[in-house]
Amino acid sequence: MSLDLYKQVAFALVVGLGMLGPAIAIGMIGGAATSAVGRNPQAEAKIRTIMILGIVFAESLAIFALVSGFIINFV
Amino acid sequence: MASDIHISISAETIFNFNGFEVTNAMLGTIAVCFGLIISSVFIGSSLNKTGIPNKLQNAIEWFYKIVEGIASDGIGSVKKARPYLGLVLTLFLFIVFSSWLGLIPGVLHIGIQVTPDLFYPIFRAPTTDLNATIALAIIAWITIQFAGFNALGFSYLGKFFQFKSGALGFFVGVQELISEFARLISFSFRLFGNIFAGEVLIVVVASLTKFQTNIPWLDYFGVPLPVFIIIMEVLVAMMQAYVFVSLMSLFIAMAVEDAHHEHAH
Repeated sequence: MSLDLYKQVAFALVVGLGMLGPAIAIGMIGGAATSAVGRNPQAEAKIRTIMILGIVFAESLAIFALVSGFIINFV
Repeated sequence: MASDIHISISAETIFNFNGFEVTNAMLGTIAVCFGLIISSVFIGSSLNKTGIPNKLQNAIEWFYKIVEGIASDGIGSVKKARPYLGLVLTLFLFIVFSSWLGLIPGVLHIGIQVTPDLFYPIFRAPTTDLNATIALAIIAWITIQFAGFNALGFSYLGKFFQFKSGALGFFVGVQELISEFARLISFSFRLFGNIFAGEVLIVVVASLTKFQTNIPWLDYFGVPLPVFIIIMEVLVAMMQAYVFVSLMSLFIAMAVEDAHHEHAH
């Protein structure tokens, strides 16, 4: 098994496993935000701001996994 | 089939200037700054201060209001956001246009053919180079620290080194200090990862959609498919600029607010 093959398998594993957590987290944040707006439709703008902030933090962890995968494969 | 695409994380050197290597991301930065400065000088000299604005000025005032709204949502009020508005607008425009540079059709095909199978484009979107995004993150970080010191003086450091709240308070302060530095990595890698992964996605989809059939006109049937990816990347660039600016405003607000008993976790 050559080094290139190991690198590609490692890339795939890092990206696949690293996206599980953030995907679940973003889904939960979106669901919580939706039910919060359902309870209090007047606060929609504030809840949207908080939701976007939470999603951005969760997504940046997914991006870290992606960039680590790139570094493993191409560097 | 898919192994003849060339993806490099680091920007490629175009020429050497007495030992200083000029990369294609630097040339992209110069191009974006040139375009922004020239267009802002032209538009600024034709502003209509009284009377009904024309369409272009209307659009620019609408854009200004949107970014002012982003900054004031984070910082708290329009009046408090006023000192930072210049930097916020500049960062937003720079991030948006430098991410769009790699999406303009044809820009990435101007370049130098170094060897028969190695092609260096002469322009590269600055935000796909980690150096540029780290620089933007450092600028944002220095602004946040400056805002904290400006508002609180040296007691801003008292947020991180808390000796009056017991052992738990001390560790909370240490954790806050670590998360201050983690923001550098978070800002830069978020922007770099999103824009760079977008460009790689376009290249990969473009290399996968050229068929090899025996019918000549059917070969290029899949060529318009990356257009949808490019449209998505246009939106992603705007969203990443919004996120960068919004997060910076939020951190400025957190740095400016009073001592730890008012800090809601």
